[in-house]
Amino acid sequence: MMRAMWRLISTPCAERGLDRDPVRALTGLLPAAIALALGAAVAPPAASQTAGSQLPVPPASAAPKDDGQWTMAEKNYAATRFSELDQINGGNVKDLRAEFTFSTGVNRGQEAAPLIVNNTMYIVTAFPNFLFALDLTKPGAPLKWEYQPNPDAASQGVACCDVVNRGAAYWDGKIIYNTLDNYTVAVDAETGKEVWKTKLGDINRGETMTMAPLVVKGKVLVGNSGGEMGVRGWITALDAKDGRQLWRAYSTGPDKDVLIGPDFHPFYDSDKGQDLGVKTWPPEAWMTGGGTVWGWIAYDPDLNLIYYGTANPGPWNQEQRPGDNKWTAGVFARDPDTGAAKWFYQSFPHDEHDYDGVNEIILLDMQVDGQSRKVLVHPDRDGYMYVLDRTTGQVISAHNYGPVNSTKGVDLKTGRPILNPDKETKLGQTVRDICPTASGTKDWEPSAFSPRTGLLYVPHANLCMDWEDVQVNYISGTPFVGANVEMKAGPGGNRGVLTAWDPVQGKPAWQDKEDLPVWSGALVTAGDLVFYGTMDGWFKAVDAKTGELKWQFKTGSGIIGQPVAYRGPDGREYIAILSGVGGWAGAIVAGNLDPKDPTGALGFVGAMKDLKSKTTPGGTLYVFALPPA
Amino acid sequence: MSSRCRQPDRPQPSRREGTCRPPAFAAGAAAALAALAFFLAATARAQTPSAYSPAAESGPLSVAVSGLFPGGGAPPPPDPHVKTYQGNPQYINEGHRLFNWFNCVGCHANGGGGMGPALMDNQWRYGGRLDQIYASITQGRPNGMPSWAGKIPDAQIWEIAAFVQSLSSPSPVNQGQSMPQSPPPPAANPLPPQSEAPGVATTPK
Repeated sequence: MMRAMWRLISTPCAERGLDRDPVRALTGLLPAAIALALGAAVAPPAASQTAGSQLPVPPASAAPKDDGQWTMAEKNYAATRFSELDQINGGNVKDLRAEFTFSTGVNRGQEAAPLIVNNTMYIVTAFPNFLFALDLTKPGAPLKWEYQPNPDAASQGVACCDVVNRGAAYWDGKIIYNTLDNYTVAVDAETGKEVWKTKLGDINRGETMTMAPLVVKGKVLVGNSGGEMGVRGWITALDAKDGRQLWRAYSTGPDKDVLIGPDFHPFYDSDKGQDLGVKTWPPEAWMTGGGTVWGWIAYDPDLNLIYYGTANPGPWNQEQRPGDNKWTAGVFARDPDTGAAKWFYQSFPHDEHDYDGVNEIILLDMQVDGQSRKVLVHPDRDGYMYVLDRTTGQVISAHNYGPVNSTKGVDLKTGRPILNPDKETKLGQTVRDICPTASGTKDWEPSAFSPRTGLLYVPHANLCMDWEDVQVNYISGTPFVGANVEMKAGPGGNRGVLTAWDPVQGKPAWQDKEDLPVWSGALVTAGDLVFYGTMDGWFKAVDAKTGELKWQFKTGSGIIGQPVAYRGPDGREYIAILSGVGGWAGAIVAGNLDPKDPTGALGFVGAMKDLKSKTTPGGTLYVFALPPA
Repeated sequence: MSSRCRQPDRPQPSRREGTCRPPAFAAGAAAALAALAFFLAATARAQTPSAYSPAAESGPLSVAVSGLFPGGGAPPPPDPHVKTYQGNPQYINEGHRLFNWFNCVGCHANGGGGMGPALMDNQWRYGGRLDQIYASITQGRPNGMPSWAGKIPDAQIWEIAAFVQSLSSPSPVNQGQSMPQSPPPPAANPLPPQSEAPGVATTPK
């Protein structure tokens, strides 16, 4: 593992800025100089991270005390993925060993987080979306029951980027998750019996469902996938008791469909006006305009607001949809009871590079200019670490956390990105060396935040791309893309990075470079260890303060899952991860694609030609613990 | 084209009812009209017997997808269309254009695959004979391949099939194709290339 560290404390800013020298020094790889964009805002000088009282913390109501279980993919409503368990630490992690494994029998990309509730572990697989319950009270954690939803096999043909599933949520005795063919199902956690099953979308419109639901106040929040299929995005709330649909809010179209009403108060002027979800599109283009909701949702119980991002506008060929294309590629705040929109911030009006806004949103209370602010932190596809006031939607800062040349920063007066005309995409012309790629500086793989270090641990990629717009027809149930893309390694040649980001200073504390894109989520524990996996199958623990590699274990296939920690019935701390390569980055292996065509998998094959020589498909759970005392 | 492309569950623009959405909102009325003309022509042709209309005993249902024949035997003889289309550079060229036009490229990329399997790698789940490829496109296949019967005129499906088959042919130019894409090379007896202009209706053959 290549490792680079930027010392945070006591180094003069001009010398230490990641935004400047280290990355610029690595730009020799690409012929065109990477004009590294700087966040327009410079964070105010903050107290050293050692000053404990200054560290950002998640709101207590959204991150209650850890009970040793893991009941939702994000761990809590603040989406910290922080475990208070501390038995495993930097001193003893070398003794960590596999306690048991479990083969799912599904060799596709495994992106889900295992759940642990009442001494039972629940695993959702990629299509065909099996749900397994394992009894943690017995040696070897034998199978308790298995639920098979039997999704329509044809749904695989409209899933853009492997047939993944990002996990389930536990609520009131039920395990609730989505199937690829657009059902949300609730299964009795004790018996494995189906409680309800609600159909929400249609594969013949290109829709699928892959995201992990979030349950808030008895309402199951789910959204659709299909931004590459001309799908019209939505988020829907279902009654957790019976699966009845309570409300649906679309991401495009008239205000009444978007649930924009008198309570809607966006911060920036460009988001104010009537029916912008229609007017910022060519006639009728909003009907096939994307803005799907396939990522993460956070919830602030104090403000009673949910936060989630909307995906890219469709098609990718931007010349077919002039306008701001609202409400795609941005963040919504909504009332979970009614769905009513409270504010919206569009991080990328008229996106030209497939910069979905669906990445995770972490809720923190943080010192800004000497005042405590309620913020959300959003590591976006476009390369910027957005810090927004979560009450108003105002951008407080937006620093890039990887090389960016598609934009030159974010204008804090308007909230809009400052476009780089050299990297705008065009019909029939190949624009080369755009950074980041369509998959972004970071894709879906979620970060973890430790209140002990005040750092956000961000698994991400370092890729650039060539892009040519081509004309595309809308034919429902088929791709609506309109671009030829080829991805490649970014500056320095390492395709992946784990960045420990200081949200107060707006800079990395340290970075661990990886050869392959880091497509797994991160977990951080009170033992000050960060866990993540690599696409060639290594499961790693690194020191949360320094990034130093402390332990690693080679699993059977590449890892793109979400690690979790829990306290077992025997009182020991366990770490669990699904191994099984795939997803967009790993589609070349999961889908057995041909490396000779660099445009394969919407251009990702170009950057992953060697993956078949480094890993094979898989689908196995690994669970680790220290030997019993 | 109507049943697949009409979407009763979403707000319907009356002037486009029953048609696939033309490609260009921004590319101007000319391209849109050309596209519409293309679809109308395609629909009309789909409803009339094609010059290559299969004989009663041929067609996708007569193509064997399995290599097992109980009691012994052999695959049925190739569909008569195979002789016409296989390796014909003019049809392959036109098939390439249609491969993009009908969004096959969105799933299979330029042969390397993505949502759908790779087509350039000599691995065939449902058979690599030209009539087997034709049958797969026409009928669809269970794991996500749409059924294009009635949506693309028969003759054009044969052209797409000929292009798909050419992707795994030994010609090195088809392999490692890089952007910007180019039409596949003639396999033999080069003919003048067909127009590649997007949105231009084809001349019925």
